[in-house]
Amino acid sequence: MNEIQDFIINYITENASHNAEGLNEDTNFIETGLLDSYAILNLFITLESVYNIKFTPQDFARPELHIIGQLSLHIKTKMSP
Amino acid sequence: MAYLYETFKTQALHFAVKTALISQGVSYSYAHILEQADLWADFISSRYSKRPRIALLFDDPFFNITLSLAIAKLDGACIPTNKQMLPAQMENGWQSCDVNIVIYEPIFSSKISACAPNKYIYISTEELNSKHTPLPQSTSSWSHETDYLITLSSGSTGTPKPIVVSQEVKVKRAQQTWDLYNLSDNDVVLCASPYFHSMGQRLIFVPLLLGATVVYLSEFTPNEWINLVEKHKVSFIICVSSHLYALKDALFRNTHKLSSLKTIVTSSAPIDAEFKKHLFEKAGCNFHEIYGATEVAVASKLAPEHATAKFSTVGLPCKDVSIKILNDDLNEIPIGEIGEIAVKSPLAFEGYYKQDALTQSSHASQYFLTGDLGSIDQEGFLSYVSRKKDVIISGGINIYPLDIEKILLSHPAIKEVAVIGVKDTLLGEVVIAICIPQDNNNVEQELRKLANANLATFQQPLKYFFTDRLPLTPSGKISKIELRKIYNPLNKDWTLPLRIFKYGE
Repeated sequence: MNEIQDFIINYITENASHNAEGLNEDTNFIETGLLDSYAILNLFITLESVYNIKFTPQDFARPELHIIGQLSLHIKTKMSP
Repeated sequence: MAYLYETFKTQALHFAVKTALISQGVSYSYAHILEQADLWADFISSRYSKRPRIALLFDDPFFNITLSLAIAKLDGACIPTNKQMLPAQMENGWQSCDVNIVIYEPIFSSKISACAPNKYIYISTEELNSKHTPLPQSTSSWSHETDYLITLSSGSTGTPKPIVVSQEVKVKRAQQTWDLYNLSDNDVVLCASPYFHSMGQRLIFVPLLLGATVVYLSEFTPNEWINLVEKHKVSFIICVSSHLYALKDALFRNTHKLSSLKTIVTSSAPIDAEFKKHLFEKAGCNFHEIYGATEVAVASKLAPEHATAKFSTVGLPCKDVSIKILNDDLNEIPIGEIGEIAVKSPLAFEGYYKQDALTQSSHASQYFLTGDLGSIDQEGFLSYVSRKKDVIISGGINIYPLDIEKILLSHPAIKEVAVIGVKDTLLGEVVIAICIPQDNNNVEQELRKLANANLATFQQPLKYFFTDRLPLTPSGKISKIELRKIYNPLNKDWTLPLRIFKYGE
């Protein structure tokens, strides 16, 4: 799980439009406005590609997945057979 | 000189207590903005002896506005910077405009730290606020130089194109918009575009040089857009087409909340004819489409009275603007035939900063070559067909595939690559890369890392495809037309996450 979380944090840090310090599992990366529209799209498509998973429209509608820790947990669940 | 500053000052003295700007729930009066602009101007002129050529890196429109006015007062040059660019890209742009000072908000300090430390004078707004006391005035005069607002047309790692507009032309461009839509100081204008974009600059100066009010929306969502229109009784809006697509249903559902709106204008990228027709019929206010370029301002306008018969066009040339359609030899071609749209306007830019050859090659006689293909019908209505140049327009931003291809090709496992824009209902186009790898290894992750490190977010391909051959034109070049035909149908709502996350669909 930490590896996924680290991946998300690194992605946000690399693509943030402004200072991205102190990101952790509780950070809501949509509310903080760190990522622009393109970076948000790319994040999800990158996660699908890296972890070989597929997000559904229902996933996107879950506000808890805006939080780094929750999102990484969700990815881990999707990866489980 | 200081033409734009003086125009603003006249309005600010007349409308001193009136609200000039509303941003994040805070209202700023004309007097407050003028006072702050004067303070910044004193600060800059008393400390720096060179003509100020200042890059602005802000989210907050109050700083963009007051510093732009201060720079206008000093007859300096103002270079708004796209916060999404990487530090190297920012520096590349600043260098192309001979920037000597960078003023930024502290939230961008990590980007500033990654820039060359001694090349520019960096001033944070904290520093600016703490050193209010002006020193003795400098006696320097730079009034022979006219470049004022410089828009960087590409966030590329290649050569940026700094589009120079003088203060006088900027005011005349505002005047053109006032005249086109009969705007007055009673109007309330919504600006939902960033200041580095020519649209954002226009939506700031059009109201502020007129004595009207600008409401600034920093983070666009359909709900917030509608809330602000309703709350502040917004009367005039110019929308980029991606915002219009995002608003689509909300716009028609909420017409009762939008009764203050007199005019909606769409610009920056073509919208499909059916949607346009629907908007003309259902928007509940005047709906106009305009065609233009940062280099020449608004060139043509499709007004509501022509909407029914001519909805597939972008209207008639504006007053004093002349439009021709040229062939590859730069000769005018007959009515109805498709060629490059060339525009002659009294509101044209000064040129690309210190790029005389490029400025010259962008003109045929006095006509600016837009790089767009189109035609003119018997009655003089202009139709836009497509880009002639290899440019992707995504969310109103021009993206140059060559800049992206150069980066991806630097990966040793990539033999050939073509970057194209595929149609998207939300952003107009989205960027994809079609690659021929050296062998069959999947290098998508490595390409994504490379793109993350070297390209701004709006340049990074959303999807990567791998193939063993790319379609070619008869002359042996990669056929991007063929690629678009192949890859357009594959976009099965790739921007859905964005619509759900940001727009609450």
